[in-house]
Amino acid sequence: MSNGYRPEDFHSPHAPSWCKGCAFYSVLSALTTMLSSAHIDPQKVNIISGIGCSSRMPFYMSTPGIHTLHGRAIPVAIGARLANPEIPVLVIGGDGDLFSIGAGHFIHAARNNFNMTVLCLDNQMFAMTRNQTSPTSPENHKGSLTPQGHFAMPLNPLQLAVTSGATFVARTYAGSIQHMKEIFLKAFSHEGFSFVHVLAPCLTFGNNKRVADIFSRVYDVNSSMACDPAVTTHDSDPTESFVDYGRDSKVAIPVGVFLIRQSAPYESNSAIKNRKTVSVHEYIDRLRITE
Amino acid sequence: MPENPKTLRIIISGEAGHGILTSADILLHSAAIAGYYSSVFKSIPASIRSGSSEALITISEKTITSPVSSFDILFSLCEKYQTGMTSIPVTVKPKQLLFVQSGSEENRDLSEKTGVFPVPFETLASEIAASFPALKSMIALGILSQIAGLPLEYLEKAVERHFSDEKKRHRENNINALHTGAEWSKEHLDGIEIFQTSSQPLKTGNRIILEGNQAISLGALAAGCRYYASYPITPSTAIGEYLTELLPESGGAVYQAEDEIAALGSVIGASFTGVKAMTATSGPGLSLMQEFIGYASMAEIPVVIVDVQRAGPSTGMPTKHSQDDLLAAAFGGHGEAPRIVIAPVNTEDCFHTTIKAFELSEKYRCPVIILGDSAQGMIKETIDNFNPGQHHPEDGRTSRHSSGVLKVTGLEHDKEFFPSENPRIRTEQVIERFAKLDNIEAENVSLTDWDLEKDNIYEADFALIAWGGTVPAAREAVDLLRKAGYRAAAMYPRLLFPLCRESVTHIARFSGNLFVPESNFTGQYSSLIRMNTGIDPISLSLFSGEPFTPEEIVKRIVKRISFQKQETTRDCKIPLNRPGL
Repeated sequence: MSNGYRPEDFHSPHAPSWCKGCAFYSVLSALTTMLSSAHIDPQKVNIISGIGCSSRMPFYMSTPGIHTLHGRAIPVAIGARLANPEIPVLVIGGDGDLFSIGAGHFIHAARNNFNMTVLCLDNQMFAMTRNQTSPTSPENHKGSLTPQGHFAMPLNPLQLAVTSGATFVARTYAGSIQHMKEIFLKAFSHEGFSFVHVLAPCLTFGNNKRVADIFSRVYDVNSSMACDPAVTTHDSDPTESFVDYGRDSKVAIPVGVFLIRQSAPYESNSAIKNRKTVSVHEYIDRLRITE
Repeated sequence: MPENPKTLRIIISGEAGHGILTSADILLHSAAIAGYYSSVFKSIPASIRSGSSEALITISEKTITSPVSSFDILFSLCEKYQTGMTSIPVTVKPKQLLFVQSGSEENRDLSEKTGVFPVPFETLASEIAASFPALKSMIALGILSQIAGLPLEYLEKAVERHFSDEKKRHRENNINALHTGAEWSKEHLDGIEIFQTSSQPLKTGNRIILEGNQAISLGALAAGCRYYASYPITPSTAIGEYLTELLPESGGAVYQAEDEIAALGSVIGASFTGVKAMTATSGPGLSLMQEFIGYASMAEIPVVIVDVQRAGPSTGMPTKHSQDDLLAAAFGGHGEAPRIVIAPVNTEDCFHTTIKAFELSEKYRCPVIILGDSAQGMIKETIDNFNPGQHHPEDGRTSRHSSGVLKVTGLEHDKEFFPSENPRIRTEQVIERFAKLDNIEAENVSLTDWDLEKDNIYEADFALIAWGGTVPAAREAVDLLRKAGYRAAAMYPRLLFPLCRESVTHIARFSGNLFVPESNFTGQYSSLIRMNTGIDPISLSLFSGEPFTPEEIVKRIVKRISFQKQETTRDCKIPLNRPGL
């Protein structure tokens, strides 16, 4: 690639502090590969995250980054977008960050169709605080604050994104850097609010078998990607296919792009355009007493 | 200028929907055309169409900015004479004129008193146009034009200007109502003239009408603010409304966020990526913003937050005056997060202090909270020769953008903003964040107004420190006290936190008692003084939802001093009423 940036140009010198074998290493690789193939200048993209294991991502990338507060990456991203509509924004958060404490912000950013890409690195729990139930934890998930199991339907991020008005909704999985890279690139290239649900189960508070099981059940709705014949696939109704992947270990997990809708992003009307030097005298003149 | 300038105090009281605030604006404007200074203090209910709505209008030959404690003329447009401002005595005093709705059972007793005139507002209004209660207040202005000698043509001009965007018919109805009121007055009030404006405009000054919230918006624009985000909350919403008018045409952006957390979050996002940014809110919003205030302090991102205070806690009294957010602004949130808290001292100063807030936030790289209040934010007044000053051409770039910092975090971090929990780095970083503010006292020189007894502070009987919306009343109180023979020293700081120890210590050391009038229960600024200097001021607190009047401050100080000096009290004659007409 001539005159381009290599994936390593997007890596920072800092080694990630994630557990050995964590799915987020693959996500980081997919992200840097994607940005390199998108021909983005590493200084011309803002990576904005919340708090949690996955939200450490900005420290391991060479791009400008804002490690915000728990659940608050999206509002900060909105300010960055409106102030600099020419600089793309990637928001990275976990399932707890985006859908527990930050759920309100997610809905409104999707509804307003801000031109940003939001990646939810879903490990189905609060992992940094050592396994508590998150909104996407499977039913009966036992967390340290719900030792008897949490008896509630998990939240479905894809359905939430669709009903909130996101104009690009996709899912990918940490088991394939190539798949992630392709989906990320499509999301990143989309004009408007793009949401990608990334299956990235926790190894430390899960186990190898469970991670392997989840990855073996995925099938891409956009292609005839090989799928374990032992699991059943869904019909073609995209809403049906936004299945909760943790609920039934026999059910196939659809990945791929579920929805793309063309709609003018919020910034097209309301972002900072040509910053002008203005004189307040002009405005003060409007307040003058006229006889 | 005469010793006791001619001053006329008018209350227009009615239900929301009676056009009270509109008529106040029109009166303000026409008084300005006549060459008078005037101010409007609005007291509005928290709901759109219930409860009482009042405008207190002062017209004078000199600038008047503080709220009044009495009135000369009152128009009560509803069935029952009522006033929401409990500090205004309901009893009718000599020389006062009251115009109340006639034929009302509720007003019967009142109507028999001298100085009370029943007016058929309802009938007169419906003769002009049906179902148009807002005309009642125009009729009131018509009556006023005759007894106050305010030429009807000035009122007409102001109506034309105010309704310039409305239908012709609408303007005509309002002008008809003015004439109807004037006619009624000629028929029923022959010979009564309580005030006489000059036939020629007093002064053709370079005059504007400005409201505090508007001044803050203009100040932000002048400071180079190009991004504003907020969530609707009384009484700060007007700032957003003004900036929504001003910013887009200056190439800036405004955003109505889903809550106050998101509003400040997006302001931080805009500021970090290089654009000067501001949000405005009131108490409940300040509570929600605390986590991001801590973040901006930790990540050293300049942001300006306006808190137009209202009476708290919780939802409190959304439209009522208070100064009870000072400690929340100074210390709110967990951990130790250095920030700066400043407050403008009058309407005009809202403009300059906002510019200063942006300068300080850039210079010290921390959140700056501007404490406004509803008295200040919602007072509208005529201002002479308003000088916006010379500001460098600004396109809204923050200085941070060129500083090369690419990452920020709310985690403790090293100088490169990489997370670190190393005890040495932690210690250095905490010290560095606080040490930035070590020299803040130097800023205070330009941020404090002194009003010393001649130049001899050593001889003052007492000193007074007031801040924010209490300052205009305090200034007048000091004048009244001096006229009564007291030797007073006063200090009006804009920079509230970090507290300027030297200035406070200076004024306290050479004066007797130190009085701090403020609109909260616990005496919050007094607490700051105590914890920072060991000086124990006498807190004069008012927490009724009304702002201090000069008379109230005088009364409390005199009471306190009299108590201390029993023997001198007998000789002490304080004019508790404002200089007469």
